[in-house]
Amino acid sequence: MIHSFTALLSRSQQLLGALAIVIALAGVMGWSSIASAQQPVPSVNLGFEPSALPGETIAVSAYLTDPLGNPIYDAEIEFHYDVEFMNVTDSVEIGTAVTNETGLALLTWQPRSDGENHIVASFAGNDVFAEASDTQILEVLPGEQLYRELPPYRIPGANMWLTSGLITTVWLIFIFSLALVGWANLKTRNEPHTSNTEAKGGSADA
Amino acid sequence: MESHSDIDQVSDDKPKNWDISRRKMIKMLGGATAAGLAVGYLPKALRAEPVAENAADFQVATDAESSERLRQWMMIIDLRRCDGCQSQGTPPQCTEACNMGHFVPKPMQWIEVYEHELSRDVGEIAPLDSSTTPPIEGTKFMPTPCMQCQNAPCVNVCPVGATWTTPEGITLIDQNRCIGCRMCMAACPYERRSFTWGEPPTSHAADFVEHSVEHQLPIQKGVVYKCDFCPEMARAGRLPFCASSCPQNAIYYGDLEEDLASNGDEVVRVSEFLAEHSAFRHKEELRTRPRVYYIDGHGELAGRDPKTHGTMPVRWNIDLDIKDGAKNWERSS
Amino acid sequence: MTYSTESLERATVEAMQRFSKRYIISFIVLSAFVVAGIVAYINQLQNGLYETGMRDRITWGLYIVMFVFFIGASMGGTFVSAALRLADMGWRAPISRGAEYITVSALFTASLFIFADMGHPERAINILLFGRWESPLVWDVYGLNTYIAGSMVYLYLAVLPDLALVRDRVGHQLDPIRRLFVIMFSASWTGHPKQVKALDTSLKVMTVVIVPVAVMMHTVTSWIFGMTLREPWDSPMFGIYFVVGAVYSGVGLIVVFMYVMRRMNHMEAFLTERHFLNMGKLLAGAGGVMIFFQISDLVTAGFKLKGDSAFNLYQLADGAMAPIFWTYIWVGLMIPLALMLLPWTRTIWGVLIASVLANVGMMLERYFIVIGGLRLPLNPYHAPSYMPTLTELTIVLGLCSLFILILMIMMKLAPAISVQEMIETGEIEAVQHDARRAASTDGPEGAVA
Repeated sequence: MIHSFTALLSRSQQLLGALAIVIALAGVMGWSSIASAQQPVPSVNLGFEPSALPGETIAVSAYLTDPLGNPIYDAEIEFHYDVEFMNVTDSVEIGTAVTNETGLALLTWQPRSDGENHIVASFAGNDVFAEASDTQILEVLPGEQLYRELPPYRIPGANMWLTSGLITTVWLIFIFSLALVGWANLKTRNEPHTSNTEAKGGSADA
Repeated sequence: MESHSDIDQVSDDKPKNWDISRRKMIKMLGGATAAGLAVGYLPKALRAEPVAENAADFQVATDAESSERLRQWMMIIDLRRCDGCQSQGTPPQCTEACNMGHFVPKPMQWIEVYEHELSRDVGEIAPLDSSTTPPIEGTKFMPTPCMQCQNAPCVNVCPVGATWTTPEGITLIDQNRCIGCRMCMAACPYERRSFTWGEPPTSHAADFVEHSVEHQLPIQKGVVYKCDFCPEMARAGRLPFCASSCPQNAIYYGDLEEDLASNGDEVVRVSEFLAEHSAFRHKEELRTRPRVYYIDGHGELAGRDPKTHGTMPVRWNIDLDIKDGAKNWERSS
Repeated sequence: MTYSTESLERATVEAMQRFSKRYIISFIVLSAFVVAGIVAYINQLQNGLYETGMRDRITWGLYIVMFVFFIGASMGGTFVSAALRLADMGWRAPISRGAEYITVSALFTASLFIFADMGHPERAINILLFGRWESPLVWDVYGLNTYIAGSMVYLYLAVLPDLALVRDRVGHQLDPIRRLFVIMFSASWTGHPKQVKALDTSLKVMTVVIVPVAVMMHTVTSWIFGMTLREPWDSPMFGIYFVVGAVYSGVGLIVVFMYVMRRMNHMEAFLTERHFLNMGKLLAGAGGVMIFFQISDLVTAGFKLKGDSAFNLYQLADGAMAPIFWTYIWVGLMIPLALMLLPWTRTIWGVLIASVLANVGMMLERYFIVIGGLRLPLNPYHAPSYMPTLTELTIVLGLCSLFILILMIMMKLAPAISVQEMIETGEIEAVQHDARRAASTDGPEGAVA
C-alpha cells in the first residue's frame, strides 16, 4: 500500500488536491523530505456496547481520524470479526460503512456467536493515509435460540384422539354386535319355543 | 302444539326401552371398561417417542446444549467447484472419505455424486430419442448427501418413530427400532436411503463400536441406513468426512444458529453466502425444506469442461476382514 | 323338480361331509406349496431380503403387489355381502357366504404378505409399542386389524344359524374336531324368536359398519402410496381408484369361487345362471368405472407431460411397463367388459372368463402401480429393473395356496351357502323358478346343470 511519489504523479487530476494536503501536512509536521514520506497513519476508534445478547441489534461505530485528530470523511471502513469454526480460524466480514464528515462509520449488526467476539474495524488505506485498524471485544451473553424451523402444520381436531376414538368406536360396535347375539342366546337357550317354518336348526328337524 | 304432544309421548315411552336391569348394568360396565382400556392404551401405542433404546446417548447430545442455544446444522455445496474429482484423477473424494470413515457397507453411498445433464430435458425422461441435441450440452456434478429435510417425508411415514428429526435439525435412524418396512425409502424424494438387503459387508472393526444413532455402527442386516450428517463430529468441532476431504473445498458444513459455515479453508456467513450466490435447495418445489443448499455451477472454478463426463468408481472400506456370511449386492438390479 | 328348504339343507350339509378325491388331492398339493413357501421364507429370514429381487431403488416388489391385490380381493366379499344386503338384493343369498369367506381369507393372507416383506418381522410388535398415528402404515395396520375383526364378526353372525343347523342335523355324524367346533360356535342357538331378533339387529348394525370400514381399508392401503411424493402415486384419485379396483377384482374372485364351489359341491340348483349374470353386471360396472378412472388419470397427465409424470407415461405406453400395462387395459378391462356386453357371451362361462381376466388384469395393475412408481428415477440414474426371484415366487405361491386352503377348510366347517339367508330373502323360491325356466327353455343353464 505504499505509494511512491512518482506513482502519485501518474494518477489523475483528482488526486492533486490530496497531494496538496499531504504536502501541507508534511510541512506542518516538519517532516524533512517528501520523497521518503511515510503515509500518515490514521487512527480507528471502534465503539459499541461491551456486551450483547445473541441476535440483538447493536450499533458498531468506528471513528476515523488523522494523526491530528481531524475526521477523515468518505473513507471506507470494513468491519470483521474473528471466528474459529470447525477448527478453522478466519475473519468474517460484518459489512462496510463509509465515514461521514465527522469521521464516523456506523453500521448495525446482530452477533450470533456466543462468548468473546473479536471485532475488527479496518481502514484499508488510500492514497493519502496508511492502513489502520482497531480491535475490540464484544461479549455475547448466553441467550435465546435464534434459528427456528417452521412448526408443523396441525389441523385442529385431526389428532391422535380422533384416530383412537374412531378405532375404539368401531371395535366397540363389533363387540356390541357379538354380545347382543351371545346374550340373547344365553338368555333363551333353555326356553322352549314353537317351531315355526322360518326357524332354523333343530326346529326343522322336529 | 300437536307436534309438541307427539314429542312428549315419545319421551314418555323412552324409559320403558331403557329399563336398566342389573345384568344390563354389568354389561354396560364391561363395555365401558373395554372402551376405557382401548382409549387408555391406543394413544400410548400411537404416540411414539423416538429412540427408546438410545435415549441416553441422544439425551446427552441435546442436554449438553440445552442451557445454550441448539446448533442447527446445515450444508452448502458449491457446485462451481465440484468437478467430480476429475482433475484429481480419483473417485469422488467426499464419497470415499465417507465410505471409509463411516464403515459404509458396500453398495451404499451416503453421499453420492450424481452427474446431472445441464439441460433438464435430457436424462430425466429416459425414453426420449437420444439422437436429439439438447439445448445446453454438458453435465454438472451434484454431491448428494441426505438433504436433512425439515419437513421430512421419511419421518412423516415411519410407522414406529425409528426415524425422526433431532432438535438440531438432523434426521437420524434408530436401527434398533426399525422394522425394515422400507416405507421411508419409498417416501424419500431424493433416493437417499439404503437398505441392508443381506448380511452387510463391513469389517469386524466396526462391530466393536457401541451403537449410537449418530454414527449408526455396527451395521445390521435388514434395516435402513443413510447419511447421518455427522453431528458427533460437528459438536467436537470437526468437519464431516465429506467436507474435510474435498480437494476443491466445495462442501461447507455450517450452523444456521451461529450463521457460520466452513469448508476447512474459510469461514463464511451463511445468510450472506447463500444470498450472494443465489443458493437453491434440491427439488425445492416439494417443500421438504432441506438443510442442504447448493450453489449452481458445473465445476467451472475447478477448471472443468462441462463436456467431460464421468467419475471414477468409488471404493469401500472392505479390504479389511469381512464378516462371515456377508453378501454383496448392487444398488439396483 | 323343485327345491324345498329341506333339499337345500340336505345339499349343504352333505357337501360339508363329502371329501371327494379331488378335494383331498388339491388339499395335499396346496399344503405342499405352503410348506415350500415356509421353507423359502425361513431361507429369506436367514439371508435377509437379499434373496429377493428388490434392491435400493425398487424397494417393494411382488410381496407388496400381492398384499395390495389380496386387500383388494377382500373388498369384493364385503361389497357383495354387506352392500347388497343393505340394498336388499335377494340374489346375493347363495353368494354371500362365499364372499365373506373370501374376505376373511384374503385379509389374513394379505397381512402375511406384510410379514414376508419386512426386514425385521420379529419387530412387528414395534408398531403396537411405538406406533405413530401420523404414519399411513399405522393407519393400515389398525385398519387391517379392524377390518379382519369386523369381517370375522360379520361372518360369524351370518353363519351362526347354519352352524346350529349342522349341529342339530349331523352333529353326531361329524368327526370329533368339527363336532366340537360346531357345538362351541353355534353358541346355544335354538332359533328362538328373541335370538332371531337379536341376530337381525346385530347383522343390521354390522352391515352398516362393515361397508365404511372396508372402503376405509382400501383407501388407507392406497394412501401407503398416495402419501409419498412419487409422481405416479402422488394422486388424490388413488383412494377411490383402489376402492373401485378392489370391487372389480373382488367380484371377479367371488365368481371364480362360486364356480368352483358349485361344481365341487353340486350346488347347480342353488347357484343358477342368474346369480352369475348378476355378478357379471357388477363386474362390468366396476370395470367400466375403472376404464373411466384410467382415462381421466392418464389423459390429464399425458396431455401436459409435466415433470416425472412424463416418465411414467412413457414407461406405461412403450417403455418397460408397456406389456403389462397394455395387457391390463385390453385383457384386464376391455375384454371382460366386452364379454359382459355381448349377449352371446353373457353365460356362466363368459362371466367366469371375464372374472379370471379381471383378476389377472388387477394383479398386473397392482404390479405396474407398485413397480412402475418405484422405477421412476429420482436422481440421474438409469431406470432400475425388477425381476422376482425364486424365493419371492415360492413365498407368493405358498401364500396364495394358503388363501385357497383357508377357503377349503372353511367350506367344510359350515354350509357354503347360507341356508338362513336363502330362506329369509325368498331366494329359495327364486331358484325354483330359475330351474323351471331352464327346464322349459332348455337354455345353457340346463345344459350346464
